[in-house]
Amino acid sequence: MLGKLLKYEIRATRRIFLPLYGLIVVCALLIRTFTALNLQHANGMASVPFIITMIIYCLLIAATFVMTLIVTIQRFNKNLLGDEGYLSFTLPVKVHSQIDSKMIVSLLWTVVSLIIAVGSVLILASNDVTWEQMSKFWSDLGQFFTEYGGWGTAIFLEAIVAMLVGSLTFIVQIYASVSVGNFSSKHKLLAAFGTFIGFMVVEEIISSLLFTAGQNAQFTQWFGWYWSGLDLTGKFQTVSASLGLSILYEAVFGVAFYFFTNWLLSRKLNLE
Amino acid sequence: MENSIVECRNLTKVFPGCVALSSVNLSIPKGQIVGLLGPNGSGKSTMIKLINGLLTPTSGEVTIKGMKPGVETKKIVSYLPERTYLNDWMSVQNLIDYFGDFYANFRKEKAYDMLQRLHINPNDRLKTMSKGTKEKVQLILVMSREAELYVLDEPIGGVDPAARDYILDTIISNYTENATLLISTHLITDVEKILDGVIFINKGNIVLTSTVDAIREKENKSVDTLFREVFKC
Repeated sequence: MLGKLLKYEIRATRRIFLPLYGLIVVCALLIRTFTALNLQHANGMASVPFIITMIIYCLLIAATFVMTLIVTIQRFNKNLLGDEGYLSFTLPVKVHSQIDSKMIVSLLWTVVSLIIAVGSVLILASNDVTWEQMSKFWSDLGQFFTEYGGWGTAIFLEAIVAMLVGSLTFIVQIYASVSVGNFSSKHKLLAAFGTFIGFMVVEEIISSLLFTAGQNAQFTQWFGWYWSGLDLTGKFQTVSASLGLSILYEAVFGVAFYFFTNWLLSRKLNLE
Repeated sequence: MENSIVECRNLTKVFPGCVALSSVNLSIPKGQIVGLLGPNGSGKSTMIKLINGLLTPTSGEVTIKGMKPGVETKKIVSYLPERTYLNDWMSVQNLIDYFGDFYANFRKEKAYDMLQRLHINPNDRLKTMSKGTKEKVQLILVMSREAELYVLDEPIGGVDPAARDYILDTIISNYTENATLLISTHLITDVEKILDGVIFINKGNIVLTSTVDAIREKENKSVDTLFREVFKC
């Protein structure tokens, strides 16, 4: 059933994102054409098309990221807790599948939006020099991986996982907040926003408590000594281990928000 | 009980500042058309939403075929809410595919047949439709399932009187003999002729449960007359 939910979730959201992506690519191509014609340095009216397209392009990029946030909130709020919830919650599917499908599709659009943004910059700005720099960057990166072997790759992969886990935690934190906000009889979205801030404060308090506990002079001294004694591989290992720990730490919050949302929607559901 | 499809045991639902259902005990027999009748705000929709798992009871429980509302009950209950629950960007055809994807007991050919008879174009989007037409589409989708229990909340409220008869015919001709129909409405004269039994509900309490025949024989009244007497303002 998750597959079917995903199918319809993508259908419901792609009609917002695909046109945006299309426009971004068109703008990037236009800007590239104008640059090729050297319009950006033209005098007077001749530079106007370039400037306008550039402004529209920047606005579209900003709009895409704002939309991923709005769609994350609205799909959950409207499709599950609004009138459409009367259908969503009478489908013979588990509540967690509903959450899963919305979470996965939100993450998908976040990643695709990022790829489109980077890709469009490549379209509008790429020339011989940038390609040269790009290929140098990749060869440097390749060298980095061969030199530091497994640990280099590990840190690279961990950075990607950290971004994905961070995004997912952010998404389910929104879901948990909107679900709590739904209990308010008036001002549901305001209550959701307040809850979100509340969750952030709690996270901050827990983090600072844990952090201060570990941050005494003795530990700092010990760590400085430990760090300076490491060779480069050892340093990589340490970075990789701490990245791993921070992913785990973030994931704990994500899992908590996920189960909290699932509990609210399956045990405390009250649609208006 | 063997012969009942819905069972309420001390079912209570309290909203902030009001008791919507107060310790209701009720069993709805299998294979009948039952009217859930009561004035506005009497608890009809609350009861129906509890049956469908859209509300959580404050205390007590409701079971469908012995099961609490969940994935298994949703497979066999076909629910028409009192509001538009369809999104506006899908076409009717998309919605038929959607229902067909999620409900194993959905019959597409039945849906297309009814659409044709009510002159609704399957390619139209909900966005372009009037409120009455949307209601017809929802009813068609709900009645195209071969469910064991149909729960219809105000199924004819927004539809013109001419279409009401057709819709009631549709409801009756599309439900199988073993299925049960629970219809909530205050348009009693329109539905009276199809009902086997009635449940009168007021201020969260069950006031009366009876078969329509018993009302006619014992009281020598129509359901509508009795309703007007019981709920006299």
